[in-house]
Amino acid sequence: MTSKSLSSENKNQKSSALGALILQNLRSHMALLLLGLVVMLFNYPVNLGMRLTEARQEYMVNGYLPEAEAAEMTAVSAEAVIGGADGPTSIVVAEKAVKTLPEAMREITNGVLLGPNTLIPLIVGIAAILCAFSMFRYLYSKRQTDFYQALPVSRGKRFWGNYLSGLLIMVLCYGAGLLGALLVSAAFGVSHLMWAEIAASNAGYLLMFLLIYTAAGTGILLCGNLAVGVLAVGWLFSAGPVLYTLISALKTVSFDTIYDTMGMEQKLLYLSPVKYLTEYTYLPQALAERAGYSFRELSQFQDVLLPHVTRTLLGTAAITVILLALNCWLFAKRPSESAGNALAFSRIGGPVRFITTVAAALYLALFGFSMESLPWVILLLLIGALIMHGVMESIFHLDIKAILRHKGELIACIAVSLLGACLFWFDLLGTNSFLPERQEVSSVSVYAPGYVQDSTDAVLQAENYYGKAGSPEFDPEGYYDAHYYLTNSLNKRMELSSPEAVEAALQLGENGILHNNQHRRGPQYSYEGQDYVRVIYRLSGGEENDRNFYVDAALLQELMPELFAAPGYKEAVYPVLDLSKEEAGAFGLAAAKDMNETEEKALRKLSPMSALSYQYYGGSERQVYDLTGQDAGQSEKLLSALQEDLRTMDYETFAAYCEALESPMFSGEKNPYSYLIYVPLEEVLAKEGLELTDYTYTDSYPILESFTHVREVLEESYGITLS
Amino acid sequence: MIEAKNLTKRFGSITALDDITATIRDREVFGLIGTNGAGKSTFLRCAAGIYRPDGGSIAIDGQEVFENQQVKRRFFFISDEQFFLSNATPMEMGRFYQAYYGGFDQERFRKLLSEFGLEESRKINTFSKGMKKQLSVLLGICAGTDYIFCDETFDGLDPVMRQAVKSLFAQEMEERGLTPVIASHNLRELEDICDHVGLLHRGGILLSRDLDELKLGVHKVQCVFRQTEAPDALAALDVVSRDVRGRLNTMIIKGDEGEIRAVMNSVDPVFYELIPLSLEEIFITETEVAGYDIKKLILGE
Repeated sequence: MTSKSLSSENKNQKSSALGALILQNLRSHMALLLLGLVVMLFNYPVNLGMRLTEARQEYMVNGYLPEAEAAEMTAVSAEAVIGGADGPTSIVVAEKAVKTLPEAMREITNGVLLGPNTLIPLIVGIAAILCAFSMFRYLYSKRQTDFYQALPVSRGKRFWGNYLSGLLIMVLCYGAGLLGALLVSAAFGVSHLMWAEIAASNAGYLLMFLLIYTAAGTGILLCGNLAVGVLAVGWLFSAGPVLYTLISALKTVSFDTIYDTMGMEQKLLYLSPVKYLTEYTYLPQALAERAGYSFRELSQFQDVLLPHVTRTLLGTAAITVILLALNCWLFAKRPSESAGNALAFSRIGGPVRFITTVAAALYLALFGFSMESLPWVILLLLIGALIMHGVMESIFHLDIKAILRHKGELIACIAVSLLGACLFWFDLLGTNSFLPERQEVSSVSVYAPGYVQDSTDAVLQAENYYGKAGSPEFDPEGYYDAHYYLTNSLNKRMELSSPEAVEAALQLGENGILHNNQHRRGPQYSYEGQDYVRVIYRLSGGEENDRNFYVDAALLQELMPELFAAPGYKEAVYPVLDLSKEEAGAFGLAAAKDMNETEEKALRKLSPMSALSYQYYGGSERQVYDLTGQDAGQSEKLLSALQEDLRTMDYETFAAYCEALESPMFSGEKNPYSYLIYVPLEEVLAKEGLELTDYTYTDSYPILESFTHVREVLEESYGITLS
Repeated sequence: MIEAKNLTKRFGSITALDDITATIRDREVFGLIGTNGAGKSTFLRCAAGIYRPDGGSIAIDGQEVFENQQVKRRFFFISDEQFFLSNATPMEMGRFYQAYYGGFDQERFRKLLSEFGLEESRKINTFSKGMKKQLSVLLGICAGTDYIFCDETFDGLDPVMRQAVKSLFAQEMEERGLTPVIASHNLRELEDICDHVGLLHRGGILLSRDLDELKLGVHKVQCVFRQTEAPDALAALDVVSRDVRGRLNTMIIKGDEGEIRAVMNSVDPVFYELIPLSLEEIFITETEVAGYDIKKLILGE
């Protein structure tokens, strides 16, 4: 027999031994397998069957449109049809009206098979942990360790046998569930499913399973006892998020002059495998949306979501591989005699105790921070450290009497916790007082809410429908809320680089820091005589220093003209200035209440913008008249006029308007200003995934005395002469 | 041949095996005896590749045991606390072991089960403790390995079964050269089966000798001297212990039987006789020599 054939025979033996191991594991974990099958069958075929039956019944009752008719309709026209005499109805009903039953059933099936309409993320998470404990729990029993370790199987093979068995249980259950769902969908006659997306989505879920399964395995292998193993897995899964919330809470209560205290600590969230799962779930959701689950078009799918999820998946795969290698090593090195002990590797005890004790001490000290009392901070910190260190000691030694062991370590924990608390309490790193040097600042942005008045909302929304700033960084929490992105838009758009503007911004910073240093710790104080400003200092190196300040109102008032006059300020505050003629949308007029007869007569000739749901302008509810309708020429004229008037508006005019609004003589119904309402184009909105039916995204511009161009157009085209 | 060289195993601050060097020859029954906590089970677990030695080595025919699949196929380990797959029957366990031990003899296993009165399709978790021990031994015998490591396996077996198991071992030794390594503190059980004993004490090995040789080297002498005091001539002997009750002296003396008889004859006692020592007495004697004073334990002196 040649050496080649010998080696292949050896390989065959090895693979068959691995197969035998897996088969044995499956036999011994039959209960888990059955449980998984039941859960998956409920999650997929049963769930799908119920949904499809429900859809069929619903459509039988309400009736559904024939295919030809449905193809002609849009959501909006359907809304009108369905609403009928009762007026507009819900978009959900309209949505159904433009679909045929087969389409609806296809969407339901795609939705269920893609994942977002099932409990699959939860099942994946729980199943991964259950499988990990089922496969490796035997290491906690001396009897079982003796039994398995004495068998003529290498540790490596034993590890892979167990690891693959857990995976196989999941794959079998998952596969059975999906197969069952496909059979149900076939029985209902559903066709043309999104096969590629379904395969990709579920492969992604399996990858998430692998990550959580492997990470739980790491926790299990590090311990020698079931209770401690459960705690260890919990610790591994929650340490990152817990540290993240701790650091961000400390920053929030300590760094008053920092606008967004979120920093690098956000990355700590990625220490938990659960974070990857929650991030990943956006992909199946988006795929389901694409499958037509709702009207909302995820236009950012290609630009934002897909790269984000791709990064998440790559990260997941990389971490899984690293953890898997670590688990292999731990399994090989794990002493068999550790079965029954708290830890399998006693060396990890110290670092784990240290991190947990310091975190617990600082967490408790946070209450002292919120009370603004240093003695409480110290007292609570000491209590936290003592309790947590004692608890950890008793867990690690499986002995309540061991709570006072490692006193030196406890003292070190207290010292480090105190240092951490002092860093934040006294701002030892000078985070609050930092102000960049003049020569380092390339441009600034200043947002003073009291000096932007009505245009604020418009600016905040501007990014959305003008689409000028591009997509912000992906944030899953805000993904469906386009408005979420907009809170930062004014400051992000504004780039003032004139020396006067930069100087003014630095003066505001100095003043704000002075106030903060005086009142940072201690009882709450009144902000009377102070105004809030948000300033971004953009440094020549590319970094941004985004700050919150309470400054003397008089100083702000003194500096505002310089800022207002700075090139770029108006463009940031009035985004309509960026629009080209081709992008001109529709204009409406929200006239003042006290109109004269001529004005009223002219207005009556116009039709109201009835679909405009938001009609509250200038402090009161007003009828908005449609100035342009479908006439693109009028829109262009009004847009140019408005742009011209805004560009030439001086600070005094604007300040007078702001001041007038402050006066009770001009509030609400008494507000003498008429407003020009701007509604963006449907296609501009659609680019950002918004619908024209949602008219909340509008701007309002007061028609000031100095707005001669706008007044001219109103007079020439509509005969409206505003007083 | 199993060879332990300077074998050391520690559990934290406790040294369970301290620099042990011993040899277990093939085709002999090796009895591993020792006090509680002496390291018998630890030694067997090292030999079975369950524990990784902290120092030294343990090898079978020159090949290290730990993480050596080929070597591990040559022995079967029966732990003091047996484990069986959940809800398994004896036949299922047989099939389980067959996957690991190519030479597992299913037919013989079935036959032995029947002979020992163990139902092959009954759930093992309904078996008594003794039945489980019998089953473990039968599985070990049928695995067809060169060695079988038994940790306190005979405890819990009734006398008939004990005898039956001993016969099985004897038969296997004769037919295919099985080498049983048996750890126990029940010395009476080992006495009539062991060829060689290793005496462990506090992690170290006190002695490792053939049982016959051991018995020949230590003698119990009972005698009545003519005078009350022991004669001076006894100083020439290696008297390990001497117990006097009335005029009856019971002495444990190390040395050659001929020399002892010569000295005893020379002091002209009223009577004397040499009684063979039981393994238990040898064990007590050796441990006393090593400073393990059993009398103190018993009498609290």
